[in-house]
Order: sequence, then structure tokens, then C-alpha cells
Amino acid sequence: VTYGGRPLYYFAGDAKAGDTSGQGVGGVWFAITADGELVKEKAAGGGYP
Amino acid sequence: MKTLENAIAAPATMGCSGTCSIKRRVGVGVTWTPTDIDRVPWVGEPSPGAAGCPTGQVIRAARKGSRQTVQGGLAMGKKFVTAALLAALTLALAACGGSDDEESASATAAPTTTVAQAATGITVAVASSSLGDILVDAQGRTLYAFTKDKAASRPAAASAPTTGRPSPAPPPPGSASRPRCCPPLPRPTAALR
Repeated sequence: VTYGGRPLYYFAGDAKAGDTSGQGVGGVWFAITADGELVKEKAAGGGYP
Repeated sequence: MKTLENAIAAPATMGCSGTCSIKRRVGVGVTWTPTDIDRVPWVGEPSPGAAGCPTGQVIRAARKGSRQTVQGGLAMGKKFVTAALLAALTLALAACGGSDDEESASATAAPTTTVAQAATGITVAVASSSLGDILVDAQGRTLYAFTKDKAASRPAAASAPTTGRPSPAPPPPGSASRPRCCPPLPRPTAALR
């Protein structure tokens, strides 16, 4: 499954809908906006570095 | 002046010959008042009324052996006319739709609600989160992108273990199998649990 040419992934650490624990993991995993842009801001609560 | 209702309903329900005066329904299936403005030629068996015109409420129906009231006949006719008008209205609306402006508008508006639904049934939507509006799947699970995936390239993580790090969203049923030759993915150490 791709969006805007980007393959989409789940994060194993997301336990339920609405979790964004994978945001910013390793500096390479980011959520995506509807425009296909990467969300660069940190997840609430810190998330993964 | 004939009403559309009576003009259509009468030939199918009346059984007299000649030109007859239809009794117009005033109330809802109860009160009838005669009028001479609705004259429709009938073909068939005369009813007991004078000059072949129905005066009673029961007339012979088109089908032998069955009886039908004028009220019932006109009521059925009204339903038929209503259905015909609805069908005509539907066709008219369908003919008016599909302009270029409407198509471009819908294509622009679509991403704000459901972003994409593949032919295979995979739904991607936009949901509000602490990060703002982001892509989620049909169950609301956040979808991520891997920055080292180039646009329109194969998933770099296809052959990498999925525990403790983002994992590829499931491919749509019936899609081609994953590529066999994907470069190894550097695992984000902080993601390990």
C-alpha cells in the first residue's frame, strides 16, 4: 500500500487507534499528512527519539 | 383540461365506452366529486351508469373476473404517475450531472475525508491526532512513511524484521508478492523494546 508513492507502514508499538508512538523513530519514520508530506514534529509525550 | 393523473389512470381501470366524465378524487380515497373537465374516451364494456358512464364506484376492471373501484384505480394511477415522474426526474438529474467543474471539485475535496480506497478495498483515511491530520487506516491506526523509501520505489523494509519498528502495511489481497531483493534496512535502535 502506497500513498503519494510512499510505502505505508504500521508501527508495532502502536497498541490502538490514535497512537503515534512510531513518530520520529530513528529519525526516519514519520506520520504522513493528507498531502503526502512527512510530519516532522515530535509525538506528544516524547515518543521514540 | 385533463390532469396527467386521470389521463393515464383511466384507460387501465375503466370499463365503459364513449367519452366519460371522470370523478375526481377530492379527499384521500373517500370523497369524490364529479367534473366534466376530465373527459377520456373509454374502450370496453359499458358500466351500469347512464350513457355508458360510470356512476357507481365499482366498475369492471380490464381483467375478466376482477373488480376494482374507481378510487382504487385512480389511486394506483397516482402511484404510477408518481413513479413515472420520479423516474423522469432521476433521468433529468443524471443528464445534468458530470460536468467538468463538478468532477474537479470532487477530486479536490476527496482527500479531506477518505483519502483513497484502492480497488482491492484498502481504505486510507485522514484522522486528527496530536500530530495534526495524518493518514490512518480503516481502523484508525497510524500509518508511517520511511524516509529512505523513495517515491514510487519498492518498500525498503520488506525483508526486514518487523518487531519493534514500523512494519509494512498489509498488501491488498491478490496483489503481487513482495520483491525478493530488497536492501537491508538499518534498524532504529531506539525503537527496540
